[in-house]
Amino acid sequence: MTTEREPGPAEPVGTVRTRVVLVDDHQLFRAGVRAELAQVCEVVGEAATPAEAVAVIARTEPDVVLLDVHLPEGGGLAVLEALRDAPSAPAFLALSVSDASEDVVPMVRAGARGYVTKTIDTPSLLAAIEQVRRGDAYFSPRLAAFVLAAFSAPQPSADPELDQLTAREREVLHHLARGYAYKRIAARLAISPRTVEAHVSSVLRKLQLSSRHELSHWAATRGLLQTSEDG
Amino acid sequence: VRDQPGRGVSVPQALARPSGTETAMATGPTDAEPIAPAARGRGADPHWRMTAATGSALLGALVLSLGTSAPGGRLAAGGVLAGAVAGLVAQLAPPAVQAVRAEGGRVVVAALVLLGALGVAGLLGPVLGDALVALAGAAFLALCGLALIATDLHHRTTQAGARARRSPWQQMTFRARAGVLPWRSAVGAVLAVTAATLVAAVVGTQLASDTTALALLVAGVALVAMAVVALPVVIGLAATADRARLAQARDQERQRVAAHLHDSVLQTLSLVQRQAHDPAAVTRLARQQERALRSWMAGRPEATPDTFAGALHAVAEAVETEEDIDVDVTVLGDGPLDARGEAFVAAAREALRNAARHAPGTTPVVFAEIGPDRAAAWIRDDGPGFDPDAVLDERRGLRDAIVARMAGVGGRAAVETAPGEGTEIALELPLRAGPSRA
Repeated sequence: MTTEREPGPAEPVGTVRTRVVLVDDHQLFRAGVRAELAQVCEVVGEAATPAEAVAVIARTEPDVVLLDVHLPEGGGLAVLEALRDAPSAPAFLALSVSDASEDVVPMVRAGARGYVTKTIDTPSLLAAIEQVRRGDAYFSPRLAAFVLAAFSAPQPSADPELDQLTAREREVLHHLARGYAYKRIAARLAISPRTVEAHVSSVLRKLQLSSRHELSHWAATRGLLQTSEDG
Repeated sequence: VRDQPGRGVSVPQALARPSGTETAMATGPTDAEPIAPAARGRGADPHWRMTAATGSALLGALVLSLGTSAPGGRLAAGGVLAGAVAGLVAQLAPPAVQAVRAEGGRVVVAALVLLGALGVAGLLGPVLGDALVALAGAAFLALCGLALIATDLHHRTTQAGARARRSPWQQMTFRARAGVLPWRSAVGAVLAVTAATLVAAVVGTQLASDTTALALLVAGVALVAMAVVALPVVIGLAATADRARLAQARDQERQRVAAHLHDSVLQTLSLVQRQAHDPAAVTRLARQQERALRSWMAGRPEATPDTFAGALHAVAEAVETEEDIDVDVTVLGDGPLDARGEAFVAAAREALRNAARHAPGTTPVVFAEIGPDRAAAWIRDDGPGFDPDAVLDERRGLRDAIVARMAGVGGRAAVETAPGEGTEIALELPLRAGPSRA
């Protein structure tokens, strides 16, 4: 994505740094990410299990939570579900070594605003954090492709549980899947970058159904539910 | 001489269970001895013969005491009982001595002392009365049976080591080979059942006057007692077999994973160590290994270039290796690959090579949608782009290898680019929806 923010002198003095909580059960990985983020963000807490994560997030009230998918005791989904109805929930950016659709899509469905793999380079990670902090969605090309697939129900009839995407939203997603940045998409479709963002956010909203029952049903009918041992 | 088969059984067990090694090695040669011959033939084992004779004598005594009411018969029964008791004591003595020497032998000693006391009570039978003597005999039998079961358990426990000591089920069923009857426990169980039957007979005589009712009662009690004793043994044997099967499956799975890790991850790690001076090579190796491991974990066969998705992934990987770049590939849907599909994939490879050469340092994105009636792929890079109207000679490969190739199989290729805008090559191939559509 081209929306990455340049750290350093360009930033006005006194700007509040993004407050981040890291949730990952690998201590080494947390240490690495903390070092990467140190320039731009303030890591206010860390957690290794869903229960710890919920406690740390409640205590520190971060802007952004980097959330690993594969945690012991329920996985990242447990954290998202626990904080689903919290009044001032932070922005979640899911993070995993896995880029399989069955890991990616449920996390986003459950409330994550974006999804990155752990091999992401530092500038892209910072860009993704900034983007979800602003309240936007961060769709990597692959995530956009999976979401596109999720909305294209395998059966010809329209999926009653999902609001179907508009033609424009589908077009925006398709461009994202092909690797276009927001600015380029805006230029190609003759709309403003903000409108592109609005379309992506709208897709995210349609994806994130409100009730947990709908989510699990949705995932089960598409074979997206993980077996419990992976949870 | 019988030491040899004893070792043959216990040593592999000791090897297979490191935690139990010491106890099994220490007690194996002596303690495993009575069980080992069971494999060759129980008749060859004097202990077994003794136990069988004793059990028969006890049963005979029971039949005699139940069958006759004459004082002579009672006396004969008492004689047989005494003989059987003597035999049983002789039979129990060696393991008891062993058990006493081992830890936990006090239980056996206590049981023997109790048996002695009961035996004395039995001798005093004429003074105390028939029913009481019969009851004492029954208790005696039951205790003998329990003592036998206890020695069996003790024996197994010492063999199994600390891990098996956790639960009685582990103790009951600990044998590497399924199907070997725990004969000591079985004899013990028979004695206990006999005792229960005897008690039933005695109590029944007091309660029921009718002979048929008495026989029914005795038979019922015997059946119930046998079922109660036999059920755990059957379950235990089944559990042992199941455990052996599980252990085998686990071991096979472990070997499979180990073999794979050896061929893949370990090889890569050794390559990484050897090329530690070359960060680019290390990165490339790590990336390749990561992709391979990921696809293995996802259960995808490593090389399946016979479908669209498999072939596109393989092509991307090949270009990554030869051009030393990173490629972001996502394929939605899949389908079998025919000759036209192969042309489509080859065009995609050309497009990807193009992107790698003309947009160095960027990550090309490949997005493909494979449906029942259409295959489409977009290969995009964020490079400098070019003016499509002023195609240089070196860009001719694009026309020949991509556009012409796609046209040759009834497909379409479009290039979208402008200076500074990156390049996107779109490939589209109509598919005839055949009977084997995915």
